[in-house]
Amino acid sequence: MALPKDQKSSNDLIRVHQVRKRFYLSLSRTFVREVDKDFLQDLLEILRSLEDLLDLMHISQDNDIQKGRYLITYFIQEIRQTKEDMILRDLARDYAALFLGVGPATVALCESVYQSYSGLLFQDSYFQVKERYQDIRLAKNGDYPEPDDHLSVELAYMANLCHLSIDSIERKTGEHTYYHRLQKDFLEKHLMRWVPEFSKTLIETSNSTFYSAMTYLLRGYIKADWNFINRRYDYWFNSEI
Amino acid sequence: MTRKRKEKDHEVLSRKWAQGVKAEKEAVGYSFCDACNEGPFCGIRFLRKGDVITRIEPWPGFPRSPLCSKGYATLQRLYNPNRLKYPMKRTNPKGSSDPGYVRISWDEALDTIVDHLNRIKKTYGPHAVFFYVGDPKEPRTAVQRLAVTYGSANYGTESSTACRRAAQMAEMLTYGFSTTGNLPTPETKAMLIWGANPAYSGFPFMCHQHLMDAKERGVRFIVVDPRISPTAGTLADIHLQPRPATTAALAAGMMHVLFEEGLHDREFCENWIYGIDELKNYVKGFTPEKVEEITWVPANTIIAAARLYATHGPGSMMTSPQGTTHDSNATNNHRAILMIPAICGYLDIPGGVLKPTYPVMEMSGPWADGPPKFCMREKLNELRDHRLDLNTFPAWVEMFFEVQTGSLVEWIKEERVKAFLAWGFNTMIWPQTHEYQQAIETLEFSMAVDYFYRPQTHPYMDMVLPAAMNYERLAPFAIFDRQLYGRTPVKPLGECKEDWQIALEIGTRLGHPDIFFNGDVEAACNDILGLWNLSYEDLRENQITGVEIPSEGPELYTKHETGHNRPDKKPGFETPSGKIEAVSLDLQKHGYPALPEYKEPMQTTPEYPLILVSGSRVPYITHSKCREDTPWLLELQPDPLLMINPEDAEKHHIKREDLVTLKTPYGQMSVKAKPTIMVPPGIVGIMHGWAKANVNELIPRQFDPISGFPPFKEIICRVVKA
Repeated sequence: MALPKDQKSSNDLIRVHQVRKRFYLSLSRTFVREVDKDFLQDLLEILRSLEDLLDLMHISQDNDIQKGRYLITYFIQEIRQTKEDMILRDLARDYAALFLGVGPATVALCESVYQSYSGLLFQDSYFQVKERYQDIRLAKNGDYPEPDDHLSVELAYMANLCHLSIDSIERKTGEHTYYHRLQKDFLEKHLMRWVPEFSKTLIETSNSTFYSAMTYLLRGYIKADWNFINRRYDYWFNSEI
Repeated sequence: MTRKRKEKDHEVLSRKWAQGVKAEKEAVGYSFCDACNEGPFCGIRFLRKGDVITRIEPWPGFPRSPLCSKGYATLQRLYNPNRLKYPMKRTNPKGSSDPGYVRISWDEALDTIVDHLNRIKKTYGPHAVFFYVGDPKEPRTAVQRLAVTYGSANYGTESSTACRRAAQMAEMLTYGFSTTGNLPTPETKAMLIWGANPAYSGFPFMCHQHLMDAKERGVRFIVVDPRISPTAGTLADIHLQPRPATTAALAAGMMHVLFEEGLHDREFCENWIYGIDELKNYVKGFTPEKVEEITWVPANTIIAAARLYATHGPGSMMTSPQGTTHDSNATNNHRAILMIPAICGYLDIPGGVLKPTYPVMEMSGPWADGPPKFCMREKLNELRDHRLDLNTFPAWVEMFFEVQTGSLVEWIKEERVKAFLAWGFNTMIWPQTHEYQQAIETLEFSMAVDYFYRPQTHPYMDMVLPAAMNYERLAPFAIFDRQLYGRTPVKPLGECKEDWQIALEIGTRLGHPDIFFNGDVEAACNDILGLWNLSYEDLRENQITGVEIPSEGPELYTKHETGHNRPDKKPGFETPSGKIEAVSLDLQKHGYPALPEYKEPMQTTPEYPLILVSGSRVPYITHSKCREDTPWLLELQPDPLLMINPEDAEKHHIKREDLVTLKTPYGQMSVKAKPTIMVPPGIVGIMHGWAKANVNELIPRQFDPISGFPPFKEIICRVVKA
């Protein structure tokens, strides 16, 4: 039996949000710390969720997405013949050299560095995003030793908003417009403002196929998600959930 | 563990953590600046929002204030995105172009260190592990305790290379106490400032303004510096500009005048100077005319300076803690300076060169040495026969509990050192830096604690640990005269730990939790504060004003006459003879020249017609310390600059910011030129510590035989346009 039109739209939208959430979480996990066994095994799954995303959001032609997709596929092929502990060690070296201050040039993972005149950690952005998290009764895990405006935390916030959107649609609370606005605001006031510069720096600095790939995907995805929220989401949204 | 559970564990943002989160209000906190070192320790009052510092300013009423550009820049250093925040270990073999550092847990880091320490002790003995503290100097106290408990006699610091110890050695040998002189008091009529440039590098709380005030009230100033330093420019009634490393000759020339003209204090000389006749006899040959030939200082200026100093008594003195000891005759050059106030009878009199009567119990130079009991100094001294420098620098060994580190290269090659544990370590401090880097790379194990990853040092090591910065440390507290202050740290960034905590945790894991307070920094501080029946809590309760340790009595003068100068309460000074030693019995015992003799420095040649003075300072960068971590300071001077006199520059068609090649017989480098009259013709100058132009690669490993100090301010060179 075919579902009623509004039910179909809801299900489609929930599916979109689920895919978005999954991809935000994958990106968050990419930058939160070094790759471990579990995450390495998840890479194929990530690739699959990327395919879903490309289909759902019609973004496969984006240059960054294409480059990222090519590089991550290449990376997965390359590591097939390599022992897992060697892969993890190489990725840990890449992570340390890029993000932990022991490489030739460190790429900062925190928004404050890009959005402040001083280029330092813990500037206005740090306090702003902290407030945004508190607005929806979230806080950074106290055991995670990086600042609140760390890329992984901001991406996790977006994933949480996707989750709240799903929840509101499922429970028909009518709050999905609110969460939609929060996502749009956060992208516009935060991620969209600094991720391009971060990505450019990383891509220019990095010799790591994996982190270059994920950064291309990050930049492409942030851009695409904003487009989606602004245009396609409106279209979808207005089709009566 | 289920997949879902694992995902939960990895959540960086959750509702659980939001429970109980309250709006953060701004609060006030206090710490000390470590941009110089633990000497000035200028007070900082900061505003914090949670654990984030939003603003810093001088600590009102603090004895060491205000803040300078370096102090303000510590906030930039604190939140520099390049900071080291996690323990790191190398994964590529030594010698690889990339050490392949990866993050490890503190448990893995500490266990690895302890495993290596235990293995090396078992295989080679404890003395094969070298414990080192560079800059900041604050961890010296805790690291000494660690070295001694582990059983190694080999503890060393950067003070044995470029900092204070050679001058201190000269002071101890000559006066029996340590002093770089002092500010003029109301009684002072003349000041002799030798090799120091307090306008640029003095503690901000004590120097230039006070000296300017003294000048206004009529104090006469003699400034000795080859350069026209801001101190010379603003203060000098007489400015003597000697050829570098000819200090002992110039001092001998001044003493010659004092003796010849009967301007010395006969009574003091006869009663309190050991070897005064030998000294008189020695300086007889140093006529002003001869000294002019040696030092380039006009004879008349030498005479005028000697007369002014002797006839405007009481006179005091300010010497550089190190500037006059950066040559191959370091100790005796500095001893010669010290004899001038001595023969004028200016020691320990009102307005003269002062010696505190009751220095705070057991804490000479607060954290440069550390409290002897806490540092287990007695036990360290018992291990003396195992010191690596025992036969190379025997007078040094008698004077200091720290090993003279200049010969580290040889000790590693001879396999006498197998492991190196370092806090605040910079290989660029040594001459021929690459030899130290190569040697360290061959060690079985090496570890460094630092704020940042230092490409000139850490690629040669096995492990780098992240240190908490001054705003994030509890230890050590501050001691100024008789006043103690505590601090209120914020939570360290990432997984950084205090220097002290790292040392205490290593000691605890070595099996000595009782000696290392189970890694509890506050408990360690309390152990020291117990000397005065205090605890850190007392410091917190008196956060702003500090806690005063009552003095045992009023300040006294001429203590050598009354028996207040020596532990045995006998009259005299704390030297082997009980007198100021023009002839040093300690130096004599070890076969060194016992008088403060002049030794001709390296001679210029047609190929190398200039003299290189390295290590002079600017007010916004601290000596040889790394500066890449504070770009605000780099904005003031982004590049190393070679100061060259305009006459010399013109000879070689060199203009401002031209790239030039600076070459000595020991190395060469490219650097931008800065023609300036600050340096006289025949001399060029450059700062230490520039990674992109490490001048120490141009300095030979030819050490002063007494102190082991390198010749940073003596080497011949040439400059050509690149």
